[in-house]
Amino acid sequence: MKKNTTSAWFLDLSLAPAQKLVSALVLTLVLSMALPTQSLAQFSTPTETVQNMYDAVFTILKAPGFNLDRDKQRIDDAVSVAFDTNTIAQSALAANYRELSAEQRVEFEELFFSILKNTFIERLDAYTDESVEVTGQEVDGNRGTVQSVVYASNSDISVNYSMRQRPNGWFIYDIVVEDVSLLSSYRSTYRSIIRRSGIDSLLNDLRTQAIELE
Amino acid sequence: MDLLIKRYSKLIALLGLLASSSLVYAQEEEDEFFFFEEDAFEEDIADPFESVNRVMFNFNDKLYRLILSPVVKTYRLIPEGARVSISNFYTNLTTPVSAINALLQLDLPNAGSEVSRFALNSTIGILGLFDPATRWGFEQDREDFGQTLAHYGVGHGFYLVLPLISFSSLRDATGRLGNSALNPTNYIWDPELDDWIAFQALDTVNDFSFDVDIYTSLYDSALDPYVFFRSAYVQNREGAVNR
Repeated sequence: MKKNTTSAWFLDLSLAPAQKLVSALVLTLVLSMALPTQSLAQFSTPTETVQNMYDAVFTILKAPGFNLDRDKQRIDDAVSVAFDTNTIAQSALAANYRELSAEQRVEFEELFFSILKNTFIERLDAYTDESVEVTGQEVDGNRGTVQSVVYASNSDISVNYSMRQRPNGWFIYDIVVEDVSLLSSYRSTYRSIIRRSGIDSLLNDLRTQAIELE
Repeated sequence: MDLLIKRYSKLIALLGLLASSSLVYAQEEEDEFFFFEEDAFEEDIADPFESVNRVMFNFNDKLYRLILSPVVKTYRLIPEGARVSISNFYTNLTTPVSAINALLQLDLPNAGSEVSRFALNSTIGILGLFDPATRWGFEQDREDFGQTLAHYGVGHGFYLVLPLISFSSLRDATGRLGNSALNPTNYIWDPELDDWIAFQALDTVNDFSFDVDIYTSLYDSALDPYVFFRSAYVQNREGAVNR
């Protein structure tokens, strides 16, 4: 009962019209300022997107008492905001994407990322000793590349991110590890399956795989 | 009528603008950006022996999971510092091969850098156990005979999966033979077969001890790991050749 009276203050019809107008104005102002600036502040350059993601993930990984099972969702959140999942899904299927219905597109995107998360985040605890550094950035119109190095114990691994500018900032659409584009490799795999047995069969295989990995 | 058109011309123009901009937006969403690489990645590599290669690929995978992986788990009990030194030692032994290949590609700066690396690491780095050269600015950029062949325009030929060695191609397998012909240690040290196997096995196990199991992640995430790793191999070699 008490909860109702406190949370519904803005519905109170006894508020004077002037007051309503003021609060509406304030609300609009706050929303219009807070929302876009916050997302732009995080992703206004390609480097910021990657650096933010690295910082967030490594803060979790290196925290004392890190526990993968418990912290999995937080890592997932930190990584997910940096990726342009729609672009990745389209690009992974290339021209074949056009053949999918709207529902199939949504399903493909969900399956694809569920599989990636279940295979990569699961093994992230192996990376607690490593460190990373963003070493450079190139921008060409609405595309960009961020270069970074993962310092592993016996070698340095080059990890580059292909980036795309969207209205609300820069997002990752490909990871290139030691010259290997993960997106190209998945695309090759999907293309070969589609060619052999069709796109429905690809979706079927993905469904089975996603369930197996759950 | 004129007046009518005049009156609504702004509206018509606005509608037209809206229509065209939403069209552009829709197109950008679907085509323009994302299918740009469609043709560039048409075929990774010729693979006429795919069925044999797939058998080999599965064999190597089982070998990795059933034998190598368990051995490596125990091997990791050796402190990391010692394992890094062992890794440095093996890398240093093959540095002359890399220097010769840089020279064959007429890449004199890299040839010089690799020679310096070998000289510094073999002496100050105590037989290659340590890597002071990297700290002093001589960064490693390995060249092999496969890359030398590629430098002179030789293509992959076709894809090959070799037992134990794994991913390769006609060109790169030939390159491996070239590498051992160019390797000075092969002329100095002439081991018995079992010593040689032990020597190679230590290198492999030690190498894998740093692995964070990215192989298994990629294997599980790919619907057809064979095709996935074939594509990855070609891209990785392409990068090494162009570097």
